[in-house]
Amino acid sequence: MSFKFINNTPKFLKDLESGVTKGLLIGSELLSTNIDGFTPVRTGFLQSKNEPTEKVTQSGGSFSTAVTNNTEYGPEQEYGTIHQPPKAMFRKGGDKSFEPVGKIIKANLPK
Amino acid sequence: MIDLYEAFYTEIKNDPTLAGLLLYNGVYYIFDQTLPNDVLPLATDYAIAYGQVSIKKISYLDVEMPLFQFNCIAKTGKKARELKEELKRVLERFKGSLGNKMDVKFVNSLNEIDLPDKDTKLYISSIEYRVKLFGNNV
Repeated sequence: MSFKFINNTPKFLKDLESGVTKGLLIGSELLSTNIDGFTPVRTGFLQSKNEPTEKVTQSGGSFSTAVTNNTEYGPEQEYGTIHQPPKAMFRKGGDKSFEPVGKIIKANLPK
Repeated sequence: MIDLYEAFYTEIKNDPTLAGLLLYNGVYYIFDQTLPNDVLPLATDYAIAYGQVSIKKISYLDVEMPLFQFNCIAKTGKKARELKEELKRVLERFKGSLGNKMDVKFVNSLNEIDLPDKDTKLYISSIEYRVKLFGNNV
């Protein structure tokens, strides 16, 4: 027996997935730019290592993407030391991006 | 507007257990952002350095939620974690008048990280707290 959809649910779900994926990819670029803006620059190496992942990971019903920095001294810059206050570039960048990234994802959802 | 820094300071100082750990020679070892150079090397076992690191703004709700980082500092990793647990006991899911000075809707913890400090051989156990203020305090 075949089942025929009488509405456009499969198309809607496909568009939803592609919209969320596209929104997250654009959003992670914006997040990376905002993190760059708060990253301390001496040689520019730390800033150059703020890299958005170029793919979206799906786990169950949740989609995620990330911006990473794999430098050895990144955590010390982010969280500070005994002598140096935290620069908090990831957290500042994240907070600044929270609202615009939400808008980007919303704009890419099927109407 | 009453300073959130001051409200946290008073809340910590008013807790007998935390005050007992952080009071040394009549001075509470609770500092802004980092340890001042004049308290190093650390004469006592425990200290806290804290400060606002970020703020989340949600314009359509007219809400601002500051993010505070508390560095619990001690001479051993175990003591730093113990101090963090005491701080969590006082601040976790806090609602009401912080330090009897400022009404807050909630104080919730986010990330925790342990970072040994290479230069001073002290241990830092950090925890973040997101604060949501009532409208009239924003």
